[in-house]
Amino acid sequence: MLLSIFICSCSGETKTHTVKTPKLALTASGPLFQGSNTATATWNYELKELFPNVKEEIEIKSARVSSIQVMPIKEADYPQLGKMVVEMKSPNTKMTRIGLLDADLDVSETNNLSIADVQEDLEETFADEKIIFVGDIDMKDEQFYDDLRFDLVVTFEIETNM
Amino acid sequence: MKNIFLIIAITLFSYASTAQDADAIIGVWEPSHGKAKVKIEKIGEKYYGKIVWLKEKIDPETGERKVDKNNPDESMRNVPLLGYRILKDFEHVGDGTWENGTIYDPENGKTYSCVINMKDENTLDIRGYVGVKTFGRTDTWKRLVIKNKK
Repeated sequence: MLLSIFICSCSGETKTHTVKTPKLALTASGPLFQGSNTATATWNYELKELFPNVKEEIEIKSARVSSIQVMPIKEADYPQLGKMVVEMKSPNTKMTRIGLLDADLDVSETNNLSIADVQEDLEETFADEKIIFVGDIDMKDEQFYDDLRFDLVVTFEIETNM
Repeated sequence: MKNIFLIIAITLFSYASTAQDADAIIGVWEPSHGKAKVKIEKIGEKYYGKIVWLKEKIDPETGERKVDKNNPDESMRNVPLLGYRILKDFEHVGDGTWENGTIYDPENGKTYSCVINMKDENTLDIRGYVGVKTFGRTDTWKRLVIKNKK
């Protein structure tokens, strides 16, 4: 009994970090047609590099997306676009919806998406050191014969051991 | 030495064949109710399906395009149904079967475990269930085949 209380109190020592991805290339390969088109961006990273001050083996205690920004690329051509949904997954975890742009995608400035209240099992996804972000973009134009490209930056609040 | 080359060749052939079988599910499919069409695609190493066509795009109650109004997460109830990813995380396990995925029913906002069996190249049996496969419902989906114009 005493032992279990001791372990619990030690495991209570955690630290919360804000982690921002680099600008990731979010790309849907053309030709594209009216309706929902799938764009993907992959982020490979090492937990050791993200959390150099964690002395012991890194444990992700909790993970939550706090911000999603989708930025147009200067001088790129864009068709007329509608709403956008963003999901994420790692190779070993299920795809989870994390954000929604409940307006037409603006191709002249940064788009800030609203964040899902319910974000399940992101700890395991983040611990996998590889995340695939999936953007479903509604295209209003009939067709577009180029690739569709945006920069994507996602910010996480990550709680680790000390 | 010849045997080694033969083993490598057979291994490569069977790997290529398996990958081809796994990708057989990629395409556009129509559930039996005929109210939607679902495009199955590969993202990473798994398979996903999203609604790419709806018979009724407009919600008669709101006069607006249909959204996921029954989603248990209130913050996501404005996600459009057109483009909604209802099949998620399917893995090919061989013999025309994809497992470990889920299917979402926008009519009630519930997500079910799901297994997909390919009966033939144009027919899928989609079985959604809770807990064990015995207690579920199977729907047959037909591949959307584009006919050549004569």
